[in-house]
Amino acid sequence: MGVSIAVHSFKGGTGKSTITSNVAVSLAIRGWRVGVMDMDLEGPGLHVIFNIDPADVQATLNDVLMGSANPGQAVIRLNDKLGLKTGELYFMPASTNVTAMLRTLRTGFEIVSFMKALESLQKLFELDYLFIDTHPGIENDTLLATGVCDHLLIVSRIDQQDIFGTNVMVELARSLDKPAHLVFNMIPRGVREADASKFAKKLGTRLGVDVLGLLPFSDDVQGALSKSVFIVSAPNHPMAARYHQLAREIEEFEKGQPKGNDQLMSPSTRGVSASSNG
Amino acid sequence: MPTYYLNRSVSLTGNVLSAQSPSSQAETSISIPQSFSIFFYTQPLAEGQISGSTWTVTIYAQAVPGQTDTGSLTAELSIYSLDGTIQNALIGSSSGNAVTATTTKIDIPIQGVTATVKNGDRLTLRLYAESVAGSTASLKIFYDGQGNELLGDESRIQTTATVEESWRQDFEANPFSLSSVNRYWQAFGTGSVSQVSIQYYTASHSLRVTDKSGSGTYARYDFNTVNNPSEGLPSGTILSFYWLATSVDSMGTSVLSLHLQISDQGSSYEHYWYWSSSNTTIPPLVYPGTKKAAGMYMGPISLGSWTKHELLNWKKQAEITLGVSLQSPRVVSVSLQSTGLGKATDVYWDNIFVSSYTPSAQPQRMQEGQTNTLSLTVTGAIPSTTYQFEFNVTDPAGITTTSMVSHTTSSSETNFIVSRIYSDDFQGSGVLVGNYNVSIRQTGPVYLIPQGSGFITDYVTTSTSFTVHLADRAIYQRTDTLRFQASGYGALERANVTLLGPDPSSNYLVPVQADSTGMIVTTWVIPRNAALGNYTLTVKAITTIKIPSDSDQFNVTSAVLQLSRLSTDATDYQRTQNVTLHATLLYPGQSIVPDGYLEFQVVQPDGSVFLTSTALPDGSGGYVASFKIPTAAPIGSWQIIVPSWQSGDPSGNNGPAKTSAVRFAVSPAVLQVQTSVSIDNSQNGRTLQIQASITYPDGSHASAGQAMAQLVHNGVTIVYVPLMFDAAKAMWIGYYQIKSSDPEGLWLVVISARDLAGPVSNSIDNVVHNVLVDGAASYWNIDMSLVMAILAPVGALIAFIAWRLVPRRKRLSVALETEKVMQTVNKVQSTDFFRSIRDQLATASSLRNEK
Repeated sequence: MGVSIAVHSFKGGTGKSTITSNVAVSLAIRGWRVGVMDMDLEGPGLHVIFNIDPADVQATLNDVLMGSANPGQAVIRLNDKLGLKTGELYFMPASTNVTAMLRTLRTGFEIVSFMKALESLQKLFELDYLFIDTHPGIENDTLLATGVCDHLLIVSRIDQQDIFGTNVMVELARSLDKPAHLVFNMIPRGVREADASKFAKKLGTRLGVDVLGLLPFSDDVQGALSKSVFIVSAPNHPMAARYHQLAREIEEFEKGQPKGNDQLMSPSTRGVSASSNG
Repeated sequence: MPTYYLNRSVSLTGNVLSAQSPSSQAETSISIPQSFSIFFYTQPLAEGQISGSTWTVTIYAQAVPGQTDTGSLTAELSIYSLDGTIQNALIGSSSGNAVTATTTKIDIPIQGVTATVKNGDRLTLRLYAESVAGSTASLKIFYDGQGNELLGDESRIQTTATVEESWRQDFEANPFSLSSVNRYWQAFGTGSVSQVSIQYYTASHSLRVTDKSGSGTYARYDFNTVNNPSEGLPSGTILSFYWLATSVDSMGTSVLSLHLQISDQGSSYEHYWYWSSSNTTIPPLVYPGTKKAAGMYMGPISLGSWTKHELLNWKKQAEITLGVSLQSPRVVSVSLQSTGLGKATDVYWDNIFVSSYTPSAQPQRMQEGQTNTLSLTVTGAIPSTTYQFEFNVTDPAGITTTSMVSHTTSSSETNFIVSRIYSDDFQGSGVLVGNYNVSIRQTGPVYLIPQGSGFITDYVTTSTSFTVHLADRAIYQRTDTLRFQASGYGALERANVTLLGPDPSSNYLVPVQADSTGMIVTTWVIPRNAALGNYTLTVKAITTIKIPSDSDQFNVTSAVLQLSRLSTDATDYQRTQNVTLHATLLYPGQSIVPDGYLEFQVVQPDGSVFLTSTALPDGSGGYVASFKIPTAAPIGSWQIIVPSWQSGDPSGNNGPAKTSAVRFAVSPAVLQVQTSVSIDNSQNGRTLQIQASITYPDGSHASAGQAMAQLVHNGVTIVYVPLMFDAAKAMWIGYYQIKSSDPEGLWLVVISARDLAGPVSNSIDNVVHNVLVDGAASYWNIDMSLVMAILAPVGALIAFIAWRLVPRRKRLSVALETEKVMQTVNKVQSTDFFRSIRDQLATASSLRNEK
């Protein structure tokens, strides 16, 4: 079974969804079967970046969990929309009403059921990677996503408040026995890459997390206004290379750690069988 | 009582026994008639051996009465055993020692043989006047050695005999004493010796009835005379006496006579007994003559047996128990006389068995209709004897009722108790209020006990008493419950109970009805505001009339409030914290005092009073008060004291009777420090601002004292930053400008704070913050300050060029607020939602592992 990754940031505007979408597309371009679940529907997140019309959303994961829809109805294949010729990329809106889902959880919903639903989706679409884009801050949906995923990817700026929230989230992930990874985004101008790298490494050591990478502040990325997947719209931009590098780092997550009966993952060994609602 | 000494003490130095003269003893002498002896003997000796050796008896003596008189003296040393038989009849003797009319020191050497001394044996010295010129002459021996003779010429005994160590030690522990004060080395004799009495260690009798002065007088004791009225000598009367007489003595024999004389209805009866000291071990009854008056009945008289005295064989102890059975004699007299030339002691009367009697009545106070157990405890009773007692109870009406009881002691029983139940065992009844006198009289056996110069018959009449009341107690406190009980009324008889108290307005009359047994029972809970003083309870029935009437008094006193709880809400406090006192006051009836007050003092460790205040009702049955411990209060053990009699209620009841206290500990306040550390990047990017809110446990801000921030890198202190209190912000604030030379990496910020309390009570708290500082020192900041300070005119230009030419590099610094992070983490982890997720994940993981 593939790897599930919850993507989180303490504050909004850290580039969480941008990183999620670009990394996901990068992995798909590299031949992996990738799913992206949006649990941050209230913000201008993935559905904007992926340019998904809400009318295209026939059902959500919540509907699947409640038995009112089958999994295939809650998945949107993006390969054609993004012109991806390799791999598979699926978008999965979790719910238009997270609060309702959490209420279900509070009143007896078993997290294991949620996990099994995700696993069935992963199996159904043979997903190698499943990204869950969470709501900023430390809310129940954040904890839910962290709990059900294999990894936690935290996107943070080098900012007092962001570092504080990151620190908290790292501790919570640790208590749930989930490995946390850190991506520093929007490194301020004027900070040398080497200094920033050294600083990030120390900070990662201090927090006890794996620092996947540093992404400098980019006017071009900002200028894209999150209306498209940057590496698709500007594949030759230096930032695209940084996203691809980040994707390669994520590929390293499970190396040497077989999951279930699977062998070491390699995109070349996996068949591509699209299953999409169009 | 004269005391005679040969030598007062003999000390032992090495193996030499030598006599020492008493230093303050008056001259004492004794005259020995011709052919007479005087004896001295020691205390019982320990077992040992005396070697054959030469003894020297030094006698300071003269022949009297004239200067022409001469005589000779024999000195003899012997050992006598405990039972009076001679073990070594003679250690040695010396005779023919001349004594002249002039007082002379005579050294009499005695060659002694080896002698074995058994435990309890005594060493004796006999001085015998062999011959003296003239029929009335005698030898006069001077005892003390402090008379006319020269020092060292005193009479003494000394020897160089070897003695065993045990004996020597015994001598040292109990030196020879020839003093009658010590009752050993006693000298006795007859003739002109002024000795009239001999002190024996057995001479502890309660009464001496005669002596052996030989004057012919005798002691007579009359019973049932005008001065000593009694009923004579009832059957079973026991008389006992001691008489120590020498059975064989060169002076002759002693005779003890007992004369019993009884007069009855004009007739008289006399009985004489005579005992003589003789060569036999038991003095024979030499004249058992009797005389009996006509018409008088007298039962058998039994004489007790003689017992041998422990001392030497020429002394006997007569212990005679006389049993006399007479029938209502009018006058009885008993005389004893010791006569003869033999050596005998005074005669002593004594009761062998000294019994004690302790009466009791339980309870001492009871209510009508209840029973009382009357007991007599007898100790020192005679074994195998039937005791008879007569219990007499006289009720308030003056009517005496009697109950008899007997008890026969076993052969080994000397203590017993007899008891009777009143009124079950008596003809009377306890239905009258008042005092019941109890008299217990032993009717058998009856003792004679000496009194003054005579005897009285001891019927062992002893007494006690108890009282019968209507109320169950004599004194009540307010809120107590009075239980009233009266009896002796007719079945279901109606009566009125009247209660009269100090406050006439509260007097009342209650109609009551007796039960089927004629008993009236009721209770009265005394109000907490009842009038204080004496109350009278009276019962008056319709038909039953009691004399004296049923009327009883009791007293009502104020209630003594009881402190049933005294506690604080904690046992340990910090300065500035509030202490809350909780207490509960109860009435004697155990009801809560709802509206009183409780005075208390708060005492500091040095004993000084910190606060005197009052705890008031909290509305739920308790009393509560709070006070704050000052910021600079002394630390240690404090206590809250509730003094006796300082608390009370609106009705004038006070208490508690005893002072109570509860302790609590005061420790220095642990200051709460909340700190934020920020790095100001907008100025020059390197100013560390440290803000600390320092508060006491009560939440108040510590505004005075010291606060310091310690910046540490890798365990090395970078700098101490003093913090100053900003009253406007209520914060302690300090700044530190990061220098180019400062180390890069993670810094620790340690905040220490203390208030102005005394040295013992400093309050310190440390808060650790982590600050991450990158290693890229911005040299222009440092240089700018130097340049600006030194080269101000060109500094601006240099700085401008530097700013333009050198790429601007920002320094990355963040503060890792570890404490704040963990607080937030803990808060999230404590939510039900998080716990649910964690638990379910753990379960799922476990199931997955099982598969």
